[in-house]
Amino acid sequence: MANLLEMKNVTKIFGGSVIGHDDSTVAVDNVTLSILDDHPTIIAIAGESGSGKTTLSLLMQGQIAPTSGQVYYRGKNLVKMSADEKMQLRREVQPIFQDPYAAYNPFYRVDHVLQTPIKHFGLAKTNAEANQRIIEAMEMVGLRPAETLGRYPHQLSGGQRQRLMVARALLCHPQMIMADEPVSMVDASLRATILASLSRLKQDFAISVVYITHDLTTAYQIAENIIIMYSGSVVETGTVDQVIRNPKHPYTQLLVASIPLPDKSKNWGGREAEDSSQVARKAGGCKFANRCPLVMEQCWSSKPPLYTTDENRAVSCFHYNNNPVMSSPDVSTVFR
Amino acid sequence: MLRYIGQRFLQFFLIIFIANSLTFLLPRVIPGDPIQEALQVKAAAAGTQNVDIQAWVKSYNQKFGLDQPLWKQYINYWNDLIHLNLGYSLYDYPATVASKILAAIPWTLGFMSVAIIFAFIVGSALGALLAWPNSPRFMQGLVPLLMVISAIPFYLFGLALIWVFAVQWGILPSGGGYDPILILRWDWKTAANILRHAILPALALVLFGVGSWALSMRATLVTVLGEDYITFAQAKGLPDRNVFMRYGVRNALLPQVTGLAIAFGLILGSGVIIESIFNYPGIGNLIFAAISEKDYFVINGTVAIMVLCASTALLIVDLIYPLIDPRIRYGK
Amino acid sequence: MAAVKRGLFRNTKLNPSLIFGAAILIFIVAVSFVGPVVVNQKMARVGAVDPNLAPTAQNVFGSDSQGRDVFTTLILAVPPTLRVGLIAGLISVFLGLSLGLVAGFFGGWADWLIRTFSDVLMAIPSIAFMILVVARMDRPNIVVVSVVVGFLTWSGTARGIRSMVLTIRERSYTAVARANGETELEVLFREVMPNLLPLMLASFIGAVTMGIATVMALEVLGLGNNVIPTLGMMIFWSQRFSAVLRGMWWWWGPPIVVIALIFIGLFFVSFGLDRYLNPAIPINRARARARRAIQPGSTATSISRGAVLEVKNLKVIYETAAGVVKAVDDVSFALRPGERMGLIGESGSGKTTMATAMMRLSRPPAYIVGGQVLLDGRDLLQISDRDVNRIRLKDIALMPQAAMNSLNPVMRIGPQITDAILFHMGRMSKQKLDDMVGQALTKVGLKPAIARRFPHQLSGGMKQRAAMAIATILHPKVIIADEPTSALDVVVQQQVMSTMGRLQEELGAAVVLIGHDMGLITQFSDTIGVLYAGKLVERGSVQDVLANPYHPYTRLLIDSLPSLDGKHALVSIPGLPPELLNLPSGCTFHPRCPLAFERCRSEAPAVQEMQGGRQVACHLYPEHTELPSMHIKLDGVEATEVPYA
Repeated sequence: MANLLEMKNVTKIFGGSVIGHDDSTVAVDNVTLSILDDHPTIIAIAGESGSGKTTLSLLMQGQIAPTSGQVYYRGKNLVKMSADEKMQLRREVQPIFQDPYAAYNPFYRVDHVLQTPIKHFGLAKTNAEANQRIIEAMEMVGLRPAETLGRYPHQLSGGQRQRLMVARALLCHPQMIMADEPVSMVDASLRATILASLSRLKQDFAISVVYITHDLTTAYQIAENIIIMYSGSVVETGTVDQVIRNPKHPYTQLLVASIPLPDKSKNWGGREAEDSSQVARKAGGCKFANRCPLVMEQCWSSKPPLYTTDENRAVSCFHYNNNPVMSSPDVSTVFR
Repeated sequence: MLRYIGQRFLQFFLIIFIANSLTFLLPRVIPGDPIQEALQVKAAAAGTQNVDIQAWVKSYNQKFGLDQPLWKQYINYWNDLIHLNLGYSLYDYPATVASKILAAIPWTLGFMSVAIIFAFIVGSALGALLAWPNSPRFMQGLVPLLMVISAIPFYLFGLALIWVFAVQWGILPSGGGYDPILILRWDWKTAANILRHAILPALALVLFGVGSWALSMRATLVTVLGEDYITFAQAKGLPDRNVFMRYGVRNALLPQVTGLAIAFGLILGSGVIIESIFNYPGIGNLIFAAISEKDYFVINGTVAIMVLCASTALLIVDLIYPLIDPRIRYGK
Repeated sequence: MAAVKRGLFRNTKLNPSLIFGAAILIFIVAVSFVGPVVVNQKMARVGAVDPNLAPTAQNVFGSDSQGRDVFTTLILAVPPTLRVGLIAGLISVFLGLSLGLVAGFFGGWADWLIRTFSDVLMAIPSIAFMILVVARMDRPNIVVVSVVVGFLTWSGTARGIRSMVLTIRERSYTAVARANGETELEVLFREVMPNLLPLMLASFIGAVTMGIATVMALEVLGLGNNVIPTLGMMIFWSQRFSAVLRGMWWWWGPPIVVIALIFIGLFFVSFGLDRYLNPAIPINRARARARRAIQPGSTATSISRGAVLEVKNLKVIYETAAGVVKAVDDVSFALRPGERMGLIGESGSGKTTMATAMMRLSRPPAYIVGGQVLLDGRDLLQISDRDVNRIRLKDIALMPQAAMNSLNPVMRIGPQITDAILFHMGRMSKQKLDDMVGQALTKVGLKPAIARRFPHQLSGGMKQRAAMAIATILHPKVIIADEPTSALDVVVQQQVMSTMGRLQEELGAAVVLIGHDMGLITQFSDTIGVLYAGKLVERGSVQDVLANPYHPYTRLLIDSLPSLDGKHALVSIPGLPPELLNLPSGCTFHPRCPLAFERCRSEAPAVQEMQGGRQVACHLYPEHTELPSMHIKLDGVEATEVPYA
């Protein structure tokens, strides 16, 4: 099985040290993963703000270059690609953004974002063919062309705008979709249609989707596998049924326990301390040590490797050191 | 923080360097000989047409080192500048440019700083009143008036003021810094006389200044009053007046104070025209006279001082701003 | 939500400043084209007429001391003056635009270089430099001078363009364009440039003003061309011949008027343009300040038995350029002491409008137009400003979304707490005050030392806790919490809400928690109210509503939430969210309601009391006793279910 996309020991550091003053942040810390060519899947990358999930997606698209490590698309290093290869990458790895309003140029009607890719990637020979493709893509995401085309972005609802973005990505015949928080700015009652169209991309078109989110409930619903990130590192990875239903890393446990579910019988409240009692100890080891309720002495000094705790899960925590360390650093090897 | 200060100083020196290099270069790249032009004017004024201008020019060039190669002139120029030696007046030789500027500066600083501060206080207060939701409605009618005032070049007010107060009513002098027959002394009579002469030029500046300070204060304050922290302050039950002063005006004053500092930086240059119109013995009149006398060294020196003054003000603004706005002090 | 507001409240009308300014400028430009053709140009030559003639009926402006006809000179002076502005403006905008674009779009060292250079230019007083340059010219060429002015004044434009480009670059549509295969240049010209047009126009007007002003100033100083009449030269000549002192008002007066007109025109045009660029400034403050009379509907101020707060028939409208929007429409509910009520609504439901209206803090363009907010036997909407101030914080407190901008950025936390205490409780010793602040901060889980910090030194969670300390310091009876945690991460949100729950129990205060997250609301609240398009459509205890919702909207809202219990089909509410400016007739939910029938289209349902103290506004009742099952029509276009993996 060939890899569509592959990240090898990728680290991204923003900022840099200026004499006597280090203001750099490690946004992504030594991540290795791969997405298979012939096995379409939906992978969720989840974490809080500042966890590095968006940086990871930008690295995958070649929008930014890694500080160290390599990203390969179809076996080619992204930073060494020719112009033609870059153009192909651009077409085949399509982004979907968080803010469905800012994704539209207010100067143009919404048709603009659909016609541009057809023109630039030469996806249709005639105008009629172009229109046909646009209409097909729109119907795929459940939009009626008559009530959408020819309008300005502010005349559409948030849900319509975001679905149109999915249609736009689909028009480009992508191999992969990078959806960065695609529903977080859309009303809850309209999210399902967007998530549904993402699911259909995988099912009907065999397109892999990377779903970047802070919301574990939607991740659980549409993704098969998930990577939990904390401060640039992968802390837990595996299938959503394992990771979200039965979290093992203390951070994942905290995340899952903090989700407010619309069900009074689920115990939610209780933990309130944090802000004033930050442990000032510099963690050279596990990054979660200063927030971890189960912190041990060794967590401060050394970084935990990923332990394969189950067939389809790996956890980066010393509490599981009776399990074998993952044989390959590739976090996606535990995926189903 | 140290980095911030370092950057500001670096920028300051860069400005000084570029600006003064330009001041040095510009007159030398424009065709024509400034010395010759100046001496021609001087000769014409003295009525001595038959003098050997060329020889005169040559001796002046030697005197000022203008016959040396350009790079040497450039080094000399910086050397002189660092010692605050701005050279000699061509027209009034051997009067130095520095002495001329020093004589003129107190006049400009005196009337300009009073005008600026007065306009700032009145304008900001007026702007605050205009933005206050509870102020009487007729005050909104002032806004277009203020816009008109701040749009018109203020020296035009000067002409109108002379016309009304000096020509029509004859109650204030039309120009000059003091009565020509007055002997300057440190007494009340002199002070009153100087004050009387400063009223009209200052008034022209104040009129314009009040308009623009009021408009900028109003605009900033309206934006500030739309912020969430104003709503929260009101939700705390604080009376409108209290919220307006402590949360509104106080925050809106920050950019105003920056503007004030910059206005002080431009103090020497911005009064040039009003001084020349009122024949006021400050920097403006100095440069006005130097232009008609083609006294290029005086022009050059005055401009150098103006640039120095403006860039120092900018530096000071950058350095004091973190003190008045904590967001910059503790920011990265 | 911001997006909706942008679209809704966008002002599309031409504003009066722009029209006024443009009218003046058009007049002046017309004069500059027609004038020189109509007048006898020879009259403007030196010695063409007798000098120093006072105006007569035939010769309206008289003549100057050099024998020029003032009127003719004035007409001929307008075109060169405008030309100066045009040349300087074009050069300045061209330079500013191209350099600003390069700096903003490509960044890196190009940005640094351009920024530093423009900083330097800005620090140099341009008039001083122009004097230096022009003083060396024997007979200054007006075109050359305006070109130089253009070169000296681009930095303002460049800065404006640069920061706008940076804003546009942050908008994801440039990233979308790249994903669509556009090259960097295409992104620049097709996506960025069109959005810079208003700014470019404003910059152009600014540069024209600057150009005319600078050249005119030079001319007044005597650095003009003595041969070509311009408005500046007319002032200079009149000055040289002491026209003012000699009483020759016809000589210096007319050019002053024309100059003033030009500058006033330019100023009003740029002011008008600024309204489009910075729409934060209210469009019509005079109208905005007019306070509305509130129709209470009833003068009775007696509150329902056992309630601490009662909202009756509250109505709030927004006055927008496009029309009047009913943001909160006839909402009534009562709150028991110590009750935790959740008020849930999606964008456009009026939930935040409710929060501010209940505190009587609505600001234009929002107006409370009817109803009552009863607290302690008083109607908050009818009492004096002074009385309402005394009640705020002490009896009813607002807890805003503090992660945004609810704390004054230039004040330390301490004074932002003490000013409220001092106002409500009068003077007290510094020691006692510090103790109160310290205790309040400790109660919300912060160290007392936080009082000396500035808001931006705190994390989002800490800011929220500080706001909570302020809201609870006087032990209010009612706390209105408006989306208090919507900007926080899920872990911090849980912690902050836990603290809030504990404080609420300690104080025994009733809380109205406003939000869009059904999970958060149900976890925190005892009772829930559901808002749709400004109406309260359902209310009841959380358990009852979740288990057995009456309103079809509530049912669909609950079904649309993903759970962790198992993968199941997710449901979307069909149709589009309501357009507030164009609300459907009858029940506002009917176009999206799978159970709608004829009556729903014509008649708005009233709120009905149901079993167990519950309320619902739906025509299905009282015929039905519970909500009939719904089948969402899958018409093949509206995808409503997630086929899970």
